[in-house]
Amino acid sequence: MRILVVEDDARLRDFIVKALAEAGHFAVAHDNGRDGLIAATTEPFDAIVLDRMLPELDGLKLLQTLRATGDGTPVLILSALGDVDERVRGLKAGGDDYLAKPFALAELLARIEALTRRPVRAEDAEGRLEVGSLILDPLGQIATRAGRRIELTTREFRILAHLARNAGRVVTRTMLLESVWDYHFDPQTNVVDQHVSKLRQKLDRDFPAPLIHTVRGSGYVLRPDR
Amino acid sequence: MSFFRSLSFRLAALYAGVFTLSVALLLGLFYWINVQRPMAAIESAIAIEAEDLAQIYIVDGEPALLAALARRAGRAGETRLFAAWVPAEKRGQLFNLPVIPRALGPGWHRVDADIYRDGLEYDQLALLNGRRFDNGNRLFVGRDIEAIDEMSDGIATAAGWVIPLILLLALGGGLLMSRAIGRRIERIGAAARQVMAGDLSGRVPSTGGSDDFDQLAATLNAMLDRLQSAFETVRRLSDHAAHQLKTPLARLTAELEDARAAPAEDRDRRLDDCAEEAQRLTVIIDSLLRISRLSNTATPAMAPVALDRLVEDVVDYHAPAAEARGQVLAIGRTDAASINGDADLLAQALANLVDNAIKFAPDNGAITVSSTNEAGAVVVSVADNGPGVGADEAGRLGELFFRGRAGSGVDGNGLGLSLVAAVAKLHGATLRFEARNPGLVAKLSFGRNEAL
Repeated sequence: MRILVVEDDARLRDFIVKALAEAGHFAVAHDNGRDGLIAATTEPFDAIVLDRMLPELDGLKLLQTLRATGDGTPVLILSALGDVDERVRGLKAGGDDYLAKPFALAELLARIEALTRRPVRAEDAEGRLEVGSLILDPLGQIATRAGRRIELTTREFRILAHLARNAGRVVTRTMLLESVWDYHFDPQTNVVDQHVSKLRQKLDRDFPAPLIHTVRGSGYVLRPDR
Repeated sequence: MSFFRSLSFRLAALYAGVFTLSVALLLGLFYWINVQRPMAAIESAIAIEAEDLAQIYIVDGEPALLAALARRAGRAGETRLFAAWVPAEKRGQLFNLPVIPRALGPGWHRVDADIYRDGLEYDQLALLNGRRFDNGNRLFVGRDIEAIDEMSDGIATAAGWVIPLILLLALGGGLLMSRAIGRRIERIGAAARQVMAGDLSGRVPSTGGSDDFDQLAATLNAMLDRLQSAFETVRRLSDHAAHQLKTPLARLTAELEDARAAPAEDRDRRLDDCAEEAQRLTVIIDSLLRISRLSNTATPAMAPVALDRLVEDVVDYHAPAAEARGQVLAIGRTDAASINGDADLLAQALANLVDNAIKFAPDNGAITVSSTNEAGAVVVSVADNGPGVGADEAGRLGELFFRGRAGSGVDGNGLGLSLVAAVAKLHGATLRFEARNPGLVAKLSFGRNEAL
């Protein structure tokens, strides 16, 4: 994918570009808002990583200007300002996701991937999600694997549904916190692990292959078992 | 000179000018009432009388005129006639006048008519209206205007003295007033300059009075108190924080050294450890930032927050953690419906309290979360049956980085409860810790106006 990175800190910028390259993406980098805006409006990108505090042109202004031209390229905002108010401001200005510094690289990569495409799996004509042998019915909150009904709590179902919609892509713990519990702070994230662990027990108990895999240092990914 | 440009001087000058002008106006009015109008009245009366007498002469001749003159000259009081008949060829006749006005022609004249009687002098001033007849005879008719004349002189003299004196007094008074005000203002300015120069203890000295300047001084002092305490909080926080961050940083440095010295196959694992330590540092810094921002901002946007949802979510989230330790995490009474607040901050605070309870309650212990109405306040409480805290430590629980005796060996950085305290303060709520036997209950109490 083509990714535009607009970040004024040289080290961080190089770091991000290198990581994106290693993940198989093509990255274009700029160190100020004006050049960033020109690049964003003249070349096509699959996603933009945008720092808020930029010289020449402020990150949010760049974003608003971009959106005003009708450009809908997904934008991930990076910022040292991490509280909820600033998050809301960033999203209101047209951002699609917001990541506070310092961040884990894996988190950044996972979120960029999540931004760039529609949910990998959407509900089919009958409103069901299908990943391999797993079939989820969000309306009735019913989960079946290879035809066998799996009893899940509401919360567990929601976790599973989120993983299923992003099947094949890494979902970080923070992303789960935000989408399943709507928490924008960090209670103990290892509790998320405990929730996922219980879910896995129920899901994989009678089956040979696990559906949910742990990606070390990043999060979880749901992969079809056939 | 800046003194003359100052507001106080200009106000004083304006005051003096207006005051003097009003005095002048008053004097003018007095003059008009007591001199001008009476004068006009007398002139008109004289004119009428003169015309009248002229007619008598023309119709009835000289003897009739002289008889009339004699009669009118004998009147007493203000209407006493002053007259002179000055024929062209003969000797004239005087009525109440001392001397024949030979040189005077027609028109208005003022003639001194002082008289001496019984050894006393009586000042009189006659206003005469003269006319000349065709045959050359002249008739002068008038009245005494001494009183009015004296009044007029008196007013002129008064004005001459009073107006400059008043002007001086007004200016002087104004200057004194403005100096007094200027001094009060200067004292406030001095206190502000002292604070700006870095001495936060500067305050406006109070005079013990209660006029508007004293109230202003009191308000400013209160503001300076608040400023000083805010500064000191920040200073304490940053000192403390810097101190607290040094240990994890030292650990991180040590682990990095280890990683560098480690054999290749161990290096990855060591670097993972370093990353974890860095992450721990990040969490501490984030919490500190959040707490300090909470302590220093104004009230956030408040909206109704459903308490049952809030409690359910937090309990639901922590369920696996409690389960892992065999604890029972339950929801108690939830009679209180909702409060006004920031949902995200409240969730954070409650999560911290529950997390604390899980950490400190024993294995197989019990933790209960409830939201109740207590005497008009809404209380959200988290109760556990752990070791609790001693009476000496209960008051320090919200302090930054404070870890009680029970906390040694338990994971954490001592900031969790400080965050709860900061969120409580922002919502105008109180955070209390009460002992249960055994255990502890943390209570977040939202006052009546926070409850819906």
